[in-house]
Amino acid sequence: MAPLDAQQNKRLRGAILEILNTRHQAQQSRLDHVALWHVMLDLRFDLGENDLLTLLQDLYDRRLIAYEESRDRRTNRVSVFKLQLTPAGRDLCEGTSTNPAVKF
Amino acid sequence: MTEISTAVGEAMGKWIRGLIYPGVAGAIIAILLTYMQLLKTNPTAGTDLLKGWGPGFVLGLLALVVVGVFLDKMVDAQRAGVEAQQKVAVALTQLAERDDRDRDRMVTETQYMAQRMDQTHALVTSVSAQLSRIEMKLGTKSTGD
Repeated sequence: MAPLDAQQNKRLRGAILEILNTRHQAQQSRLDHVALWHVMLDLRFDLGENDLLTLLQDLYDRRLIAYEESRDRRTNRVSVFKLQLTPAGRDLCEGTSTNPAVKF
Repeated sequence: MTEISTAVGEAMGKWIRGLIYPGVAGAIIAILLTYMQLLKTNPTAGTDLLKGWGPGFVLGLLALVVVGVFLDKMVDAQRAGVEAQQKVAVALTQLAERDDRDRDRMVTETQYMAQRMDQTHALVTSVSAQLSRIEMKLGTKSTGD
């Protein structure tokens, strides 16, 4: 898969935040990255698992989401779970604030 | 839950088996010892007793052994049945959990799409209003047909 360009990244970050916000509003359980990936694939977003992990790390670095991370020592595979929005992420979803790295 | 019931099943099996083996063995040994004692003290009576018992005595002993083995097998079969039932219960639970996860995912996707539809509708309404304003300014507002 070709690397995603900046515009795609912004839209995908926005979609991730919107999906997490949807689940938050419905008081559903916190997703792990595999479940989120499958939701995004069902919604016809074209991205790989590593693309999603990179986007999640971007959002985490910007303090828009929070999660827990674990790495399998044998396979070196990263797993992200208990994904949730931070207050800054919720503000962004509600339009209270803006972020140039996120597009809805 | 299933681990506990498996442990209980195993413990009961061991307990029943623990009763069967010593019981059968004890009965056989007691009969043999009593008979040997009788042979020592009164050989004639011992021989008469053996004759009196006849083949029924031997068959009885054999039946005791067979019953012991049969009960043991029955306990094993029962335990295997319980384990199979537990496996089916675990499989059904996993199936239900997977169904729940699928349903949960579908709910999220539907809600997301509904949200996007709302946003799209708002965008279309806004664009339509802007178009109307432009048409008004240009004096080319359509009559609606």
